[in-house]
Amino acid sequence: MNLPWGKSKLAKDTPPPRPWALLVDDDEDFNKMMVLVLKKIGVHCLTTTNSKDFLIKLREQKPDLCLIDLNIEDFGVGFTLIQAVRRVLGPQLPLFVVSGESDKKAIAHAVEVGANDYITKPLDRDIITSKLSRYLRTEQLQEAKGPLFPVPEGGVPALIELDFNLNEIDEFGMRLSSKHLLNKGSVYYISSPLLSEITGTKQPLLYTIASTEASTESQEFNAYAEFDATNQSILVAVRRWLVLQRSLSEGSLQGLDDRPFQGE
Amino acid sequence: MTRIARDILLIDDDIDIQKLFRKLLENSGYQVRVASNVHEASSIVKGFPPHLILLDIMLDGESGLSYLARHQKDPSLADVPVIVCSGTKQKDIAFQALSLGASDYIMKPVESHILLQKIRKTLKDQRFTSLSFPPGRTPKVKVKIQGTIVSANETGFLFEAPLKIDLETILQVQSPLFETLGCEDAVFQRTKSPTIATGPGQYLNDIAVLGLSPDSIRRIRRLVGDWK
Repeated sequence: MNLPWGKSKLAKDTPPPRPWALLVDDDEDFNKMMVLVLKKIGVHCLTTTNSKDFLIKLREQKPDLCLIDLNIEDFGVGFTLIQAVRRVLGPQLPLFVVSGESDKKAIAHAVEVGANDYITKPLDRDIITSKLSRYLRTEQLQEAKGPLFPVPEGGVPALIELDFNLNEIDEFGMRLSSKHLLNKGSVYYISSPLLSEITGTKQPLLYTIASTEASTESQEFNAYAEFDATNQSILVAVRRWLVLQRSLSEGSLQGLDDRPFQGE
Repeated sequence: MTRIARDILLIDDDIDIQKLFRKLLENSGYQVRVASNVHEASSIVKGFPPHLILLDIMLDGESGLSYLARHQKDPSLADVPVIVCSGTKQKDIAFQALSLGASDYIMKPVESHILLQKIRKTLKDQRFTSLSFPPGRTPKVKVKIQGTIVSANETGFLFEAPLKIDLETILQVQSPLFETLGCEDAVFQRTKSPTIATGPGQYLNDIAVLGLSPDSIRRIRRLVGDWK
């Protein structure tokens, strides 16, 4: 096992100065390279070449960053090690996986089971510096942190799609919940197989967020998304569907307090 | 906040009353459907009940009372309140209507402000249909949020939108920028950096780009460097 910060001065079990990284990779040349690269950005590195030693050091000395070779030992061991890190040290610890290939499925699975990011071989010092600067603070990392360049002409459009829970539908709209916060007054396209069934159209429809609130029971936000009041066919379709649901299961529907309406 | 008009079904065989009430109610913001008799009414409401029914007790053909009795037995209409209209000489019939389930009654000749008052009161007390999904069995919906990528480098970008994304969420992101940079297949993840408000209802979300090949990363670094 390498102790690159001074072999004779420190006792065998003493962890390196913080922040320090624990690496597991069976390629000793790679490990030596990683130690040097990380040293230059102020991060000490303890290397192991097998999962057993890695797990012992993980429990005994609790690193600030883990680097795990996805292809260590047998297939799947890398993913098992990620889960072990999360069990022992929780969700906050930065954890990178290392691999020789750029495999989208492997990355996605690694992130699903708990990895934060992904480094490919061969090592690129600038890339590692950029990525680590998002998770660790050292003087060198702060200085080397890659700037974000402004996109020309004010920016480029982008579209994000997120899942929300549909908790309730009434004739005017629906109550959604999730850990993301939508903006009151903003307009969004919303779709789902159920909404297609109700409205009779597969097209995503526009909804206005009439209100948002934080839930006191869960760490989620509730939002009320209103149907388009000018689209009569949608309103008719929703009411028909609600009435049909009521007829199908008498007594399972809840009544609602009055909503504001025109005519008052 | 948008407001959706309540709709009222008027069942009356008097053409003048139909015109008068329609004008009065539409001017007050209601949507109005009109039927001259019970048969027409049944056809109009089929599958799409109104929020309230204004029913003339003395109709040609099937009487209003008979319709009322049927109305209460129809599960799709049982929740729809009925206000009956009757002449002053038919007070008994009006009381009968109440015992058959009518919510209220109004005497002819109808005074506009009293009619509107009764309608408001009836609708205010009304509980309308909704459907709740039990926890653990709530369906999912997909919400599309449009925003702007305002700055970027080879490891991530800042996305400005009317949205605060929960930290560390894996995201689906589409943008012409990714085609330019050649990273359409990357994995995107919201980082741990806090969201920054940039204006009313607009937030900057820091998003990391994962899984790029070293060649892609170098190419992106060159491309974004040219933006300076």
